[in-house]
Amino acid sequence: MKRLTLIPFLMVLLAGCGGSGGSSLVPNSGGFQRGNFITSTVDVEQQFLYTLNRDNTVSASVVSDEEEEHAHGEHAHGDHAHREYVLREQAHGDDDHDHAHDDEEHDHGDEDHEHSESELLLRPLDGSPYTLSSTPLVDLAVSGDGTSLFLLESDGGLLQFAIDGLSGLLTPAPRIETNITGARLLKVSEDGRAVAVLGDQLAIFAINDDSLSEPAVLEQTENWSDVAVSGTIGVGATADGAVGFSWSPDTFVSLSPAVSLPGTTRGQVAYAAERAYVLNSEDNSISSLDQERNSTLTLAATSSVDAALDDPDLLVATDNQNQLVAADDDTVATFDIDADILTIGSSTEVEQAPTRLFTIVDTALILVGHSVGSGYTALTVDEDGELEIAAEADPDEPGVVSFGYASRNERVTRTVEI
Amino acid sequence: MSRSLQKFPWLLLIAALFLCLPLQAADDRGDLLVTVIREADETPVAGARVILYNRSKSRKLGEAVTDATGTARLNGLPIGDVFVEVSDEAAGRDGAVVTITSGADNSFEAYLAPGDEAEIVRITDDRLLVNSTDPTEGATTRRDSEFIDRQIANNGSLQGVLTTIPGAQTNSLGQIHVRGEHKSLSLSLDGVDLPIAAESSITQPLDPTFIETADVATGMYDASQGGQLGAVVNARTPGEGEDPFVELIGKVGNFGQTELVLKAGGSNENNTLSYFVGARRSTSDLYLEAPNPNRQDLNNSGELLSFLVRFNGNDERNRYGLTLSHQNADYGIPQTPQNFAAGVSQGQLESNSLALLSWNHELTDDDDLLLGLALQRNSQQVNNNGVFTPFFTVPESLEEELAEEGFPLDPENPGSPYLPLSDLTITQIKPSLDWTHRMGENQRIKAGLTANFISSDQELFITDPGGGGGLPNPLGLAGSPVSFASNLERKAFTGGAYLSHTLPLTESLILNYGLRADTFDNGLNVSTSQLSPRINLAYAPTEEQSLRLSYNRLFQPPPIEIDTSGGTEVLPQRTHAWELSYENQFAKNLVGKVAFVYKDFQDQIDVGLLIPNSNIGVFAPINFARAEYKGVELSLSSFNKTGWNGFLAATIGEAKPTEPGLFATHFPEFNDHDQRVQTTAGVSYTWENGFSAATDVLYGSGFPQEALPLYNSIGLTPFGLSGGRQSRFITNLNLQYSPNDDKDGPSLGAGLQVFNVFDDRSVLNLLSEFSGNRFVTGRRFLLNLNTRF
Repeated sequence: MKRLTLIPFLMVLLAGCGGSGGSSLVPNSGGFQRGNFITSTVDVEQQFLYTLNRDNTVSASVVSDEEEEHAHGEHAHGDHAHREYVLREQAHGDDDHDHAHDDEEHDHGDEDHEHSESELLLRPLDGSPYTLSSTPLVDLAVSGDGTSLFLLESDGGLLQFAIDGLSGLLTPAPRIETNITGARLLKVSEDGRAVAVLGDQLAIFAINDDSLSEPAVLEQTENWSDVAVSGTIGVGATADGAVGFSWSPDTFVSLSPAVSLPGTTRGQVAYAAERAYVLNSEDNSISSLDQERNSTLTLAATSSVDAALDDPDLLVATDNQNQLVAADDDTVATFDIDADILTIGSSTEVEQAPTRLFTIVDTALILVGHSVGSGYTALTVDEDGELEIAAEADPDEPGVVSFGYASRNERVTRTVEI
Repeated sequence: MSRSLQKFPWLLLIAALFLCLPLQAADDRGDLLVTVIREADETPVAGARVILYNRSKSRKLGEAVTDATGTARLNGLPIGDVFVEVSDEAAGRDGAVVTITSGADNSFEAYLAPGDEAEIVRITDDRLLVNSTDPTEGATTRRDSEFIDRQIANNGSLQGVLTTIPGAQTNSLGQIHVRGEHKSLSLSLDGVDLPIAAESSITQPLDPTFIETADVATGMYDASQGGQLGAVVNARTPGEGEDPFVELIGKVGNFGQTELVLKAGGSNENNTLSYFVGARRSTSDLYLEAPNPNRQDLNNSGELLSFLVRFNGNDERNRYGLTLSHQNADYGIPQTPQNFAAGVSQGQLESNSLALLSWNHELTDDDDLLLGLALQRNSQQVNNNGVFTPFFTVPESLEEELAEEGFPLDPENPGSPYLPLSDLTITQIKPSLDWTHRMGENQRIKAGLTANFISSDQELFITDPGGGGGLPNPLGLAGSPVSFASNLERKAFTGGAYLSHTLPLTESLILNYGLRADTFDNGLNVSTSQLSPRINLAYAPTEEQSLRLSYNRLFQPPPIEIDTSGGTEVLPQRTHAWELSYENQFAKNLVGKVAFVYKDFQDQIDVGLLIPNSNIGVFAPINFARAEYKGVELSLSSFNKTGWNGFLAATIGEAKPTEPGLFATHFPEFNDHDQRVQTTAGVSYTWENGFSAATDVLYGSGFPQEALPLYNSIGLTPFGLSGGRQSRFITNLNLQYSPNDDKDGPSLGAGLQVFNVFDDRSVLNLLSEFSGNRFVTGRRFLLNLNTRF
């Protein structure tokens, strides 16, 4: 028994011997909740495509990849209003849409990695299309952060809707009376933080979360064919040429000296690669202009596009800003931006006359709205850099006037009690 | 009332029975049938005196007198070696060391001839090592303290001991794969099956340092055996039948290795009371296998404390046991050099507590009632210091499959994007009741009931600020999970009832058959049961040879822990297991065995990291709908007390899932991909003075994780590795001086252990979903001093 008395002592000695062991870390967040549950928090990337249709409705679709098509395939059956669209595109590796037509780039690496065909599935939201106004609608736009959708009524009313980041569904905000007469165009600024209404006057609103600032207004824009806003400066396309302007929220718009451009009719204006581009419709050319921070414009060059187009009036920049896309009554063409020179990339004919061009963020897709007919046409650029039709206009869908695209990244937490 | 009890009202009766009884019992013993024959005319000797001693013959354990047929039975003997001495004044004397195996008759035929004590002593090392008529012994391997202490170097971990068992293969985190199963290990202490070990646990409820004898069974189970049936380790601690002793061992080595061990045990004069107390504290700066072969001690320090207290008492018809065991481990999760330099520090705390009560009551000379009650509590916490590093996944354009599985762009420096916090506590109460009825030599009926009331509380909170992208998403939300939290408090139940009959068809052909019924309820959404027939057959052409054939239907409850999908729907594993083996003691103290094994799994329970491609030691079960295992095993063991000894355990196995599971949307080609071939072997020499020298080797070979060939395909060879077959060869040395136990007075011993002599730091699992990225621990040495008095 004498030996046994040693045991507790030695055990205590053993247990008490120093050493911090591997870790004695203090948890870095609060204590655990009680109950029987599983909680997941996910970052959800959702993209929604909105179209303003010629029947004065707005269609809304969630955009997903092909895999999700199968996951949600059961939604595709039955109801005509829930038709799903598959848009095929040539996705470019390494996010290098900007090298889509770079021949040198094509010469390197494994082409299988540079190009692969993928599909985007457009699944209509429940209840789409929606009737959101009894007044004729003339244009649609989505804020840069994808949180607001704007609709322009022909009487100058501006409708703002909050976009639900998960469902894409719209919640209306109070209608804004812009007091713009002859309202015909709605444009979101390049940075996505302002929305411009063009009519006989120009009104620019700063977007503040879910509301708009008081407008900065410029009178006498009856002869402007288009406007583009980048930050606090902008460009208007006029019959004579182009005019730069600067604006401040709630206050005013000031003009800089106008720049004369060839011909007497203008098409649309686009910013790309830190320059402004103006489409000279009658002259079949595109002028590139440098713009100073005070909005002063300087003509850099004018490039002819008559090899591909005749009297074009539509112009947009691709998402990667390395290309311009222009269209006339029956043809859509791409132009590579190379310093002052624009070189034609490729072109393709479309069956119905385009009235609106729209590029989808992070894709090589170009959507084309039409003045007559139905639906819209989707174009993409193939492996050889050629424009090709990815999806024909759907005759069962109403014709599309304009497009808006919302890309959202939402953090969603859901708890399920067990 | 819990759902389990509502469903199974008979359990209330059993529970009430246990509550009324102070103790419970188990089948940890074996029986000895001694037949005494006069050598001159081979007639039975009636009235001969049979005395049973411990192996060193310092203690008398029991006594009997032969009946008119010349036989005497001694029941309830501890497994291991005993010395049997038979004497008759007229006929003479005989004696031998006999190895007792559990749950069966062990036979010894004594041939009496006039002689003296010296002749008997000479034959004590020549014994029968094969119980050839036991149909359930074919897949059992014995490792006693002499083997553990002298034959292998890595004797401080159960992993090290089990590595020497044919069919058992170990992974880098101390988890055992046996015959294609994953971490399906049961411990049985003095015959009582302990409750299920926690899936994420690295430590075991019982410290192998305190084990005197371990019988490791990997198949051929009779119907009494339920639960985790990959392997069943039937362990016995020292003390019983021994003179009181105290042993102190101190060890020190490189990489911060220290170890202090206390063992004390013994019995009173008449062996009615025995005790054992063990305590151990060990530290190391190479606690786990590291994710980098050349910087292995980064955040890799750990400490283990373990205690064991056992008391046994017995009287004429009763045997009582009480065991209290506790282990506490605190260690870091090793980091890559880059993550360590960035300040990433994550750690893990584990504790296992066990209380085991047993009562063996001899109802009649042929009937034993065995009652056991085990209470076990396992807990594990994972923590972090709030530091993470970014994780960059292989871009889809570079390699689509690697991208899909979220493998890192830089496999040598994968980033540590997660901040894990977990707290798991599993409390189990497991009563059991067994009844054994003997009906002559090699014939017995066993019946019993077992229940396991499991309370599981698992809390997890893991965030992914570094963009790892591997968090579970059990709710199926669209998007990338950035945090996962859960709290699951479950009252689960598993229980079984069985009937087993061992029947000698002829003197050399013994059949064991039985039926077992098991049920399982996970407390939430899985409730199921199974009837499991068992058939085991032994043919013994001679007493040194046995040919055995077995079919076992097995039912294995899953761990009550969150599964790899973040859900709770892991199903029990159902297995058809076939085995054919041949065992032969073909030389003095040398036994060899060859076995062919096939297993057909339904809902195979695999183990994976909850966060794949990470280094976080939170493991979770996963089901594969179907899987199979095919294996050939060869083993050799010698059992000389002194002189040369050796062992060999070679396994060539193929374990592969064949169908995905409910949430295992993909499955690997092999689910023990780096363990197709494993061989352990060792030789030793023990001198009479107690000095021993041993070397043991482990050779492992298999295909690496399937990610490696994909990396190779894009020009990456992390750590120079190719996707071809990988092998490793680990050599250990063990030099010990341990004076003989039977010397009077205190003794002083010393030793040197060298692990991984040739410093092979091969990859174990590169970016495996099972254990992340691990390399063999480099060369270490450990010096020890010990004293016993």
